[in-house]
Amino acid sequence: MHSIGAYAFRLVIAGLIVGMSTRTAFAYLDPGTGSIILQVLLGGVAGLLLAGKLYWHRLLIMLGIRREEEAASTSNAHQDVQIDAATRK
Amino acid sequence: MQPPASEALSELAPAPDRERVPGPAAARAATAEPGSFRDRNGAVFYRDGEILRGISAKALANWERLAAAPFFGEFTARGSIVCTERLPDDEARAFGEWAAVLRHEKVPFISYPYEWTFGMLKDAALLHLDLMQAALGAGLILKDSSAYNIQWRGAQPVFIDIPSFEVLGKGEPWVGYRQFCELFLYPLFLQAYKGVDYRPWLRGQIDGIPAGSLRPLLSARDLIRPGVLLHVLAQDSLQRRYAGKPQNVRSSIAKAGFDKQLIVRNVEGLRKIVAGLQPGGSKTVWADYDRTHSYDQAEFEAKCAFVREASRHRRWRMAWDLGCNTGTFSRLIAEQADHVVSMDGDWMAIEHLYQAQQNRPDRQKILPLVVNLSDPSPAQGWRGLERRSLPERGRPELTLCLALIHHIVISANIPMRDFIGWLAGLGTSLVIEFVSRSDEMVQTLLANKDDQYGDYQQDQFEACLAEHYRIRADQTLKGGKRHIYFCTPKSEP
Repeated sequence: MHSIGAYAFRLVIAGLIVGMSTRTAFAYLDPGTGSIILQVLLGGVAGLLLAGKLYWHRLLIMLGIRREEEAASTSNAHQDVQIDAATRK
Repeated sequence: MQPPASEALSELAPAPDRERVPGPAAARAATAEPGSFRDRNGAVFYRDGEILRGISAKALANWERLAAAPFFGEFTARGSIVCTERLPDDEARAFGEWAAVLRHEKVPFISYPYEWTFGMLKDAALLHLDLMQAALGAGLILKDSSAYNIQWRGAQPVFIDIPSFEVLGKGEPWVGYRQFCELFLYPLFLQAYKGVDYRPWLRGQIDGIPAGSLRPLLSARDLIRPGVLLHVLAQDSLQRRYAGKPQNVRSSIAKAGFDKQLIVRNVEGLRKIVAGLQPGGSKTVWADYDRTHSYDQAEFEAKCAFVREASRHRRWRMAWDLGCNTGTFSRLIAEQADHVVSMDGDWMAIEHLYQAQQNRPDRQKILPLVVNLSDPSPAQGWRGLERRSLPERGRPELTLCLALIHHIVISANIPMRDFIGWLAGLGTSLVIEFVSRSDEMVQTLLANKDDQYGDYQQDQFEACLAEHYRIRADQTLKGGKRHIYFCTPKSEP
């Protein structure tokens, strides 16, 4: 089992992943935004590196080095989906 | 895809609301499974006792990948995935809109997670995770994680929702992760960490237990238990934070390089957590029945001999053992029956039976279920048709009802005549034991109750039986304190 410190670190990282906005096509089951973010943290070392990378993007945007549209430019579908507990599945 | 318990891969009793499948004449004889609607990429229907599933072009592409994957053949061969074949195209065309039609093997009896013991739910969860690992290795994934996608061949779990396997897109997360938590992990946590029976919770909510419902039950001590901090607390917090916001993190994480290795790590972690869970809570009343029943050895053997002889009356396709306890008599009738469904309201007795069956040759014949007959599983879900009530899921040909009637009449206050009438409604042969007022078990039940059970007399019991049944054999047991009967329906010659 991981130490409490490692858990706490992951939780802090989770809290930092905010404000990401893109669009894509979904399956019939709504995975839940929060649950997707958590999967990054549950992905072991590679997950933590990915979390850091996502945060780095956010940091660049916040510092004005990068624009939000660039960070979001990978989307290729156009379905806007409202995510909340009541609309899943 | 979420489906299926309802998608009952079993021969079901006719349901009045079952709709005809629209389409050409050959398909008109098919009836649609009313619980099969959540995933528009497929639908289950029945025709001439066969279980068929129409699938879309997208689902067909996934099926072709799955059918070619070695792990699919391996799991199917060992009985962990339901046997499935594709209908020839000329036959499938009769069903109109679908790109292809699959035919599934029948599962003997459909059951639901709220009827399973802890060990059953845990083994079902482990099978789901094993299938996830195998699928990921082949570039596939299970797109949903419904516990209802697992059914039982006796005491062996079998995965039934074939279209749930789909090709994993690059950078895609595990869409079914939250559902896995709600329908497998949290119910197991509830029992393991809090000693709370999860069955009423699962029966109460078809989609399982949300993180937000489990969280308030957790104490500070629970936070250090495996899986709680991340899978419950962090998930609940993150869900709350993002609830109602139109943000889509899916392509963001894909772009940042989310990889299937992250899913593999998560699945490995979950497998470790689930494998380590043990049921909490104290011992129940009947768990030691094998050693504590009220018969002496000679009388017990006489009872066994009567049951065995009655079961030899003919071969039975399906038998029910009601109030089966740890299953001693289920095993006796399994010698003469293709399948036995063994039910008892005491989960620990059923757990005992389930675990004991794992190494027995009749493992695939006896399905143990936690069912309280005075409050059996109802029909529920959308239109009350997604999950079926107990008798709607297929009826037995033989019913065993040993040392149960006093619990029904005295503990549950159900009139004896009503109960015998209900049994007769099953239309089966019956082996039933009457436990008289002189028996110490009845005296215990009456010790602190008003005796309002004037009808609880052997002559009245026999009169009730005679209304519906022909008594073919009977025998006094336990020095006259009990009496056992073998009856067949009056309608039978």
